[in-house]
Formats: sequence, C-alpha cells, structure tokens
Amino acid sequence: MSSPPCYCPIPYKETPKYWHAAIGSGIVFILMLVLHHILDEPKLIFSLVIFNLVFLSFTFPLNGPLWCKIVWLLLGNVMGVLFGLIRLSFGLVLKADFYWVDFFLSHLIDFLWIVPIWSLALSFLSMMKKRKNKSIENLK
Amino acid sequence: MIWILNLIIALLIAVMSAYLVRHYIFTLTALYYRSGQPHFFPNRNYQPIVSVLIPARNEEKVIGRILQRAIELTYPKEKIEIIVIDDASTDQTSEIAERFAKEHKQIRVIHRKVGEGGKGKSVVLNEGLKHANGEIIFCFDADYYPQRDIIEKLTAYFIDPKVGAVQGRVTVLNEPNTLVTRLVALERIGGYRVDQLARDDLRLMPQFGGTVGGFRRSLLEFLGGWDPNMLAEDTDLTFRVYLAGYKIRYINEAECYEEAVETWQSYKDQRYRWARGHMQAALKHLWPLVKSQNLKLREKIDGFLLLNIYFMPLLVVLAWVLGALSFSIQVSDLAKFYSFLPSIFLFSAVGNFAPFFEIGIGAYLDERERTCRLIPILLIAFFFNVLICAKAFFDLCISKFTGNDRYKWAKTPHNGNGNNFINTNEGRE
Repeated sequence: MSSPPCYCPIPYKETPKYWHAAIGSGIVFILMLVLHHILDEPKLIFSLVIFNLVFLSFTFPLNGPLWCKIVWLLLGNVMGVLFGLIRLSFGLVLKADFYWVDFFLSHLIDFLWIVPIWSLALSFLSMMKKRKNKSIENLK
Repeated sequence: MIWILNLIIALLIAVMSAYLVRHYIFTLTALYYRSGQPHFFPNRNYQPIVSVLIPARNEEKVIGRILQRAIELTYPKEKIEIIVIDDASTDQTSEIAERFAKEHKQIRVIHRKVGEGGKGKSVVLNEGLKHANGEIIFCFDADYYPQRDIIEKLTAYFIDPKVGAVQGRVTVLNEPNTLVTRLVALERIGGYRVDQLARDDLRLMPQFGGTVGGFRRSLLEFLGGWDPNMLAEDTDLTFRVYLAGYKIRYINEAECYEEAVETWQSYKDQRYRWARGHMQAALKHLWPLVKSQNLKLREKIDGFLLLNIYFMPLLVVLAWVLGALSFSIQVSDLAKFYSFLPSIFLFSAVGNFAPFFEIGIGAYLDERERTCRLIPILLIAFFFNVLICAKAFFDLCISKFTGNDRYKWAKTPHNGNGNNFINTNEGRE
C-alpha cells in the first residue's frame, strides 16, 4: 500500500461525430416527410421511424465515412418500403385471413429487415475502421 | 374490465421502457463516456498474497489447460497459491491435478469425498475458502483460460479499501464451433464490453459473474462465504457485497477465455439455472436493497432492474399478447397505440437481456466486423429464453408454494474443444 495507484487509459471510447449526426437527422427528416406523403401507411412509417432512430443514435455518430452511413441509411429505407409493400400486397390478396397473421407477426417481419440492415452497416463501419487503423500502423 | 387490461399494459410498457432507457444509456456510455472511474495499472508495490480457487467436477478435458496456464501466470510465484477443489470427480480430473501439484508447489489439490460431491459450486468454493491463505480470493472455473497477467490486473484495484470485489471480462474461446457458441459470444460481448463497463463507468452496480473475479478475504469471511442455498451464488454474493457497503469494480482489460456451452441442451440447462437462481436472488434481495442505507438512489435503481432482468422475456411476451388482446376487443385509437408499443420493446429486448443495439455496439468497439453480422440470430435466443425463463418462473413458484426448494445441480459439460482455439483469432473476427 506504499505508493499511490497509477492510472491507466480507460477502455477504448469513440468521439461522437456530431456533424454526421446532424446531417443524418436532416436526411431522415426529409426522407420521412417524403415517405409519409407517398405511402400514407402508418404501420410501415412506424417501422421506418424505428429503423431511422436506431440508425441515427448508433450509426451516424460513429467513426467512419459519411457517404457510407448515408448509403446504408437509404438502403435500409428502401428495404423497409419493399418489406412493407410485400406485406400490403399479401393483405390485399388474403384479406381477413391475413389480418390476424399480420397483426401478430408484422413486428417480427420488421425485425427481419431492421436488425440485419443495421448490423450489416455496423459491420461495414467496423471493417472501415479496422482498415484505417491498419493503414495508420503501416505508415508508422 | 377493458380499463384494467389497458392499465396492466401501460404498467408493463412503463417497466419495459425503464429497461430500454437503461440499455440505451449503457450503450452510449460504453461508446462515448470518458469520465468513468479510474483504471489502475498493475502496481508492483502492492502485491498481496492471493489464492486462486478452481472448483472442478469431472473436468478432465479442461483442467490441464487451466493448470498449465496457472503456472504461466506472471504474478510472483511466492505470493500465489492455486487450489483445485476436486468435487468427487469420477474421471481423471483428480489425477491430472495431482500431477501438476507434484511438479509445482504453488498448486494444491483438495479432494471431496464421493458422498459429498455434486452439491453445487457454492459448497465447493466454501471448502476451498477454508484451505486458502490469501488476502485476496479469486475464483476461476476449470474451463477458463486467463491472460498471463490477469491476477496483477485484478489485484491492482484492491488498493482502494472500498473495493470488496473485482470482476474481469469473459470472452468465448470456442466461439467458431457452433451456432450456440456464437450466440453465447454475442451475449458475452453485450454483457461485458457494454453492460458491465457502463455500470462501472457510471458508478452503478457492476456484477460479480461467479468466475474471473475475486474478493477481499476479510469481506468474504464476514459475509459467511458463498450461500449454498442459492442457485445464482454470484448474483447473491454481488448484492451481499453492495449491501455491506463495499463496491465491485469491473476491469475490462483483465480478459479471460471461457469454453462456452456448445449444444442447445447445455445452453438450456445453464440458462435455466441462471434464470431460476436470479429470480431466487430477486426474492431474497429486493427488500433489503430498497431499505439499504449503504446505497445511493442510482445504485438502488440499477440493482432493482438487475435483479428483475430474468423476468423481462416473460413480461415482453405478456405485453405483446395483452396488446393483441386489447386490440381485438376494442377498436379505439388508444388500443391501437397499445398494440404497437410492445413491438418496440420486442425489438429492443431480443437477445439475452441485452438489446440488439447494445450487443452490436459491443462488437463494433471490439472491431468484430463479422460478429456484427450475426446479431439477427439473437432472435432465436430470445424465444428460447422466453421458454427457459417461463419454466424457471413456474418451477420457482411451485417450489415456494410447496416448500420443496430442492434442485439437482446440472453441471455444465466441457469437452475441451476450446483447446483448438488457443492462440488463434480464426473465426473471431
């Protein structure tokens, strides 16, 4: 107990990219306005809102190129609209039979596109970060 | 009647919101928060005598690996004792441990008689504690494989007299083996790299995980050691440490590899024990936690949420079903609103008690690009855990009702497959 404790660096932390988050918020706002006008389908819009919120919170402020984040955001929204349209077309064809199936399973179906797209985007950012770190190491 | 239904749903949504906010804060903390508690370097001037307890029951396939590692530890040999407590093994565990003990004087083996064996980890650890001479008592499971300097890293934190226990990080060794090991690896990333770290940073209640951790001997003796009546002896001890006025530190840089369960059956048995034990601990500690004078409000809130976490998969499904029921019997806007909300929490709750974004960010922080892509499979684990938690809950209720709280300890089998993954990062990118 003789000497005072030494302090070592805390585990790796990121510095949030506020600019990226601000630009992302702007894009999401415009996107949601446009989609709301075109689609007028509350359930579909709701799923897209969840996806966009997750993306804004946990992807845009991370390290990584802005273009990559925007591409994945747009890709996610396209995917969400496609999933929603497929679900709607099932609803039109199967009518009442589909109503209850849709009611119980729609959120799970949403899960099937929201999480994979988000995790793929994250994986891509992680890969970019690794590459960048490697190139910095090589330079040293 | 409908308003009662709506009220129940509203309450469930409030509880789930609390967990969602909690994990949201944890994830942001693990990502960005830099003003957490200080992390200490190993300090050569503070190296007390330590005892490492290794409980082992039929662990012939893995015991050699941890003992080999134990003799490679960089902590001064004269200040460390390794105690293997052979819990009446019927395989070669005892012989392998004895062979190591003969060659290395810091290793000792304690044998429990055949009639005494198989009564659970707590009993075995208490036996080890009786024979230990160290000032700090560490415990490692037999299937674990620690870093060489892990003891220094963990011991450094005991220089703070308020620290009663420490917990290191657990990483899966045999991750590439099966879908189950990959799932467990994801859960470990979320649980340690994000959850435990954030709780430490925010001065909440990091948890002792039952292994890869240690206690101040004086505190352990004051608390009466491990409680043999508790299935989740680690959670129980965690709360007893906090209620006694001490704190537990989580040390992310002190890493140890574990051999995770490889089959769904083993996964079920292990999680069932954890779920039932955790629920048992919740019943035991909730009231003392609320009353405690030693804990701050934020610690009490975190402790409360931690104790009840194994009820969450049940509550999420219950809210989902009730939301649907509410929607089917009334067509008001409020009902529609209710039917939507549980889905948000379903999104967030998938995975083993850590939302998908928490696990994803953990994998990102570890630069695990391929692991990130596996996050969607957490949905499987979620539904599996719903069934496990439901069974644990009903079994616990029945046992409390009948007064028969007996549980046959289901030991987690280890086949030594982890040996193939030592010193390689293959499959863990």
